Amino acid sequence: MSEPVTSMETERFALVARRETPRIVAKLTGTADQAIAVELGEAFRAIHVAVANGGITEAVLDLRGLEFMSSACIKALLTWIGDIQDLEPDRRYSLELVSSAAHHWQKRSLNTVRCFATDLVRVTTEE
Amino acid sequence: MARRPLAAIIVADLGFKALVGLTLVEEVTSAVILVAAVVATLAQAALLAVWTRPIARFLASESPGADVVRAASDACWRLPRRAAWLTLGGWVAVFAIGTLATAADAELLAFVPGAAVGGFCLSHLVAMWDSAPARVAIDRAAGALEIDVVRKLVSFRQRVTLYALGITTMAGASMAAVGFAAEAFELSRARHVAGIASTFALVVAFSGIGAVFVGITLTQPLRRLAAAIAEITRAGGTLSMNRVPRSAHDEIGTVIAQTNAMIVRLEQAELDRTRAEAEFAAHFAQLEETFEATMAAVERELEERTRVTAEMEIAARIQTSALPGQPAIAGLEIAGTMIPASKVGGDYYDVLPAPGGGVIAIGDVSGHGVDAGLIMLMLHGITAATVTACPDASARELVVAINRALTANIRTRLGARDFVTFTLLRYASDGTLHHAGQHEDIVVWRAATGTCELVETAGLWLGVKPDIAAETVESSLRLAPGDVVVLYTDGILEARDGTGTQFGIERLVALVDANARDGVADLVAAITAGVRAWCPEPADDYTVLAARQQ
Repeated sequence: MSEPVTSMETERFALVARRETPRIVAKLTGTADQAIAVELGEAFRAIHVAVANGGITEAVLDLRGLEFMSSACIKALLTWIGDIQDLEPDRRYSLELVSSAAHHWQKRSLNTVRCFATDLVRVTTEE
Repeated sequence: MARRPLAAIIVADLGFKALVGLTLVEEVTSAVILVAAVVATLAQAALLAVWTRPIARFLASESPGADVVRAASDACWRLPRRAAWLTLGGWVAVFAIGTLATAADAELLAFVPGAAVGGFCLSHLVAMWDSAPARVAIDRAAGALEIDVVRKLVSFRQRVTLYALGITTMAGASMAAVGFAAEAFELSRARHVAGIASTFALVVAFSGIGAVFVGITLTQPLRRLAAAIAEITRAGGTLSMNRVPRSAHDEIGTVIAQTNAMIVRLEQAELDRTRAEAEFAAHFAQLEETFEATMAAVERELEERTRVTAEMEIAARIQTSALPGQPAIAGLEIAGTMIPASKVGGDYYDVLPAPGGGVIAIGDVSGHGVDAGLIMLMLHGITAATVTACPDASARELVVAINRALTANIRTRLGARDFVTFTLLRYASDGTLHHAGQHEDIVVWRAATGTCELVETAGLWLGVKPDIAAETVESSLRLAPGDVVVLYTDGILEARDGTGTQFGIERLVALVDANARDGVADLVAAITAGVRAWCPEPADDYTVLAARQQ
């Protein structure tokens, strides 16, 4: 049983986040260029609030369908990770980044993102 | 009013017959004729009273129904003809009796047609004139009830002809009657003359009355018509108040009807004009409103453009102030440029001479705005200071040191979570190029093969964490004479054309392949021209720097 948390859609990008207890899974598709960075940051913020206040222990960001992510959008992702770090230790939750080996940028950028908070962020790659 | 034609016809007919009878009053036969005339006239009166009953009903009712209006109209239009035929019949009856009473005299018989035709014509004209007001009232009622009553046009020419024929015939017949009577009954000359004189006086009187009647019937509608037209043409005249009463169904009536139709059309045109004026006024108001809104939008756009222009100038000033003026490192031919976008970006590059070669650095602060600009300036200062302080440090050591100082500034002083993609290349004059820090792939064009290689940059971004020594690795490559290294920021790869397609690494490599044999300044110009052609108004600033091994 899943219920929607937040979503956004533009001409070239879509995000759908659903609560799939005990996780919240957000699926990103298309290309996340800098034009959507602000809206994407708001969506990440909504997911963070839903997770932090909903007794959720893990958020999953499925990036397999995301062909490109601009530095401005990566900054939004890092801001989200920073928000997790800012929580009280017992309220922090883990973030799993599901990547695709088909997208070269994910291999490089997501590992760097993980370094930002190795104790909270996990990167998994599906062929 | 319904009794007026009846009374007029009776009086006129009875008077004329009595006058004729008086010329013969000394004879028994004349008395018989006189009695017959009275009886015939009374019979006419009775018949006319019956025929005018619908008119009387119409005039008596305050709100006549359609059937009453139709019946009254029909009676009104039949009345003159019936009155005339009755008069004709009366004369025929009178003189038929007279003829029998006087033993049928041929000359007497000759008098009958003239008197009969004269009476017929006069009766018709009098009835037409006298029933005119009733016809007008009926027409108005029919118009109000939208009843289409039958109209039979009686031309003015017919009416004048009837009048002239009646007067002429009556005069001739009267003269003949007087002459006939004088001869037949051996009247004295004095009585003969008196009879002729009285008949002549009667004819003149009837002619005068008829002339006045014709004049009135002719000119009255024309006067109404003229008054109505004058009212229409008068400035400020109201068309709706100028319907001309159609009192006659002849040529004048036709003119009146056409005039009324013209008035209706004029009214419609006036209504159309008024409506058009109202619509125009509404459209004009809407246009005015749209114009004002457009002007407001234009003003806002101008203000926005002014603001953007000012911001672009600031952005360009901030970013270009940190760029090397004439980048130069011994052993390398270097050219570079940075194209700012509308917002302050974070593109950065620098060329710093150092012992045995030099340092080339390129980076891009995440995001845009004042923070990005400040961080870029911090990076510029920290990099220059670090290279100056540690001229012999390796690329990796420089990156780690720069990150430590920059992260502290970003996190502590700015309280921001920005990061910087950054690659530092340490060049040795022998063509060795050591690099560290993660940024975009390095494009290396090999002069020997005329093809490009993509060299991945490994490590972490600056600003992610204070100590990146563990994650930072140093790699190296060697440039042969003529080889070209091309560094760039993501603004080039992410530039989108009208369909949303990114410029991408493939197009960049193609441009390098096509232009690397030229001077590096030309190569840089070709790349920026290609990106500008692909995306005339890029959303992000972009930087390209090319260095050729000499």
